[in-house]
Amino acid sequence: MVVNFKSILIIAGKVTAGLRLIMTWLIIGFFGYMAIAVLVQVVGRYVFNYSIDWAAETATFAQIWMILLAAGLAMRSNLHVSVDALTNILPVPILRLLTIVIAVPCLWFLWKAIVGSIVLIDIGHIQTSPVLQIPMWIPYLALPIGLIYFGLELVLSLVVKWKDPKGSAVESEKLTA
Amino acid sequence: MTVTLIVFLILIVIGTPIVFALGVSAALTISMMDIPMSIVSQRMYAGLDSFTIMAIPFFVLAGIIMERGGIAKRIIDFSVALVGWITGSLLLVATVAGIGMAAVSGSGAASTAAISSIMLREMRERCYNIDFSVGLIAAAGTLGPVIPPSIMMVVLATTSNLSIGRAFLGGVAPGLLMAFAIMIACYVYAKRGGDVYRDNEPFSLRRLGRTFIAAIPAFIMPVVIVGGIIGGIFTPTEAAAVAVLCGLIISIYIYKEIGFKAIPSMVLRAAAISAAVMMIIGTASVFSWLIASQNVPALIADLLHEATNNPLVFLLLMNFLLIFIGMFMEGISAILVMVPVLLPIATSFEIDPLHFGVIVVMNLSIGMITPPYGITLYVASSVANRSVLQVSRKIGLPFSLIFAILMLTTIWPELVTYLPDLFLPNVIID
Repeated sequence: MVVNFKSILIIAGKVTAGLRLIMTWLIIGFFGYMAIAVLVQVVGRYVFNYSIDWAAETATFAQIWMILLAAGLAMRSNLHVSVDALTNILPVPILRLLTIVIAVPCLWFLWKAIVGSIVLIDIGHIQTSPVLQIPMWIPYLALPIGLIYFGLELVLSLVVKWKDPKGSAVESEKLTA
Repeated sequence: MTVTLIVFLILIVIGTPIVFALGVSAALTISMMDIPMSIVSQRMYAGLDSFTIMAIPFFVLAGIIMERGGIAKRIIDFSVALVGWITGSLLLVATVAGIGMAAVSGSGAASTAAISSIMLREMRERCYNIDFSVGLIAAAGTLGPVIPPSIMMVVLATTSNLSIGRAFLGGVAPGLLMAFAIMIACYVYAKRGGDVYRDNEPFSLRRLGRTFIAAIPAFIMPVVIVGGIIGGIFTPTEAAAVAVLCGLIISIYIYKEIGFKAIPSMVLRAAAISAAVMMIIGTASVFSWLIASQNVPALIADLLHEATNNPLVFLLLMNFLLIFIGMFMEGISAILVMVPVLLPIATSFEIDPLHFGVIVVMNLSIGMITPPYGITLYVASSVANRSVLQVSRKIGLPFSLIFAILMLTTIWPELVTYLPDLFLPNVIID
């Protein structure tokens, strides 16, 4: 039984690592596309005297995907800011309890937002984008996928915070822009 | 509505990430009212569905490229040649470098990290008071959000429907005055401090020229960004993308400090930082929509108008409120939570929205050096291995001088509006 549990953990760890790698490259890809599309727009306007409407539209869609996927990445890097000046003085056991107490409403919110985004995707099957007539479910789909990944990273961050309730709070401040 | 606010405050106090504190309290209110829950997802999507706001990830990435690409070092070298011969030299150098970094980067914390990691060692070697030096570098970091380009100004402009170009220009004069105030703090402290601070290098015109030439690529950035926006060549988003391209060319081909291999990690970092900011924009828009639909700003405005009709009194009250909020909350989230409530009240007092906005940004920049939560204070003291508490004891002098500039800006709206009216008089929105 113990061995089985361990192997499940190992497999789960591998799946998570694989998922993170995919997310990482998707984020880089969307960001890169965004930058190139905007630069192409500038070059198009000034060098070829040609206005490229589709560049702005697709760049915005890439931004939506990039940001929603990176929300989970930010969770993993502990970049989501919070006011921790008041909780930092608390003893470790209470801090541990608080991380769990906090996670519950957060997951509830993510759940509500994911369910809400399914409604949007349904509408997106009949809507199309103004310039390229892209079906709108394509950008809307970023919501449930990004938020599910966000929730996963939130749960994983609980493990880290349980082990080191104070250290992570310090880290988050150091990394914020 | 009371429920929304109480839940929000409780969540904030127990340390919930702000993005969730806003989302949860808004979603809870919506679930109690007769509104479909999909409005939450819709608003979050709408917050990201904007070409203008794309300036944020680009400015963040440009800032990271400059932090890692050797631009900070050149700016500091040039500052040493420029003011290194005056009493309190290194303190003045840190301030001038702060102006330079503010003009190339969009955030305060990144430039503070760069300046303190390069300068603190020499300050220690020359026996400068380390706590004052740390406080001063942190204070120079407050210039970041006020002097363009600035991520905080982009967020401010998009939440209050102002032109980003005008907001950028509005920060120039107050930002430079803040820098001047910090320099006075350096000089006054160094004069009283004794011989340690008079250990200067003589002025050399040749060195000034040499370091200036090395720093030219860095100075091209603000010219391209701000000049491009003022001249109507670029939209702010395009200017930010061009800044990324320029930063890469300068760091890879001119300064040769990073290679192409460094790009993915910088992009990832920029993506994560932007996501942290922009997800808050999404949940804050649900929250502020609820606040607005309940007429909260109008209620507060009525209450205030019963007490006074003087706009100056309102602005002073607002300054104290925002300084207090800045002690606990990070600037961008504070803008997203507070501006939708405060702006309608400000306009009811007939205050110019741009003047109001720049004052908000100044307040929240000052919040970066006020303990317990002050980001630049935190960054600089952790580089120096000092506690925020130790450093805060020495922050009084720079703080009060910057505060004086805030007061001056509060009573003198033209300080903010003169440059935007001169260069971008007819621009309403970018």
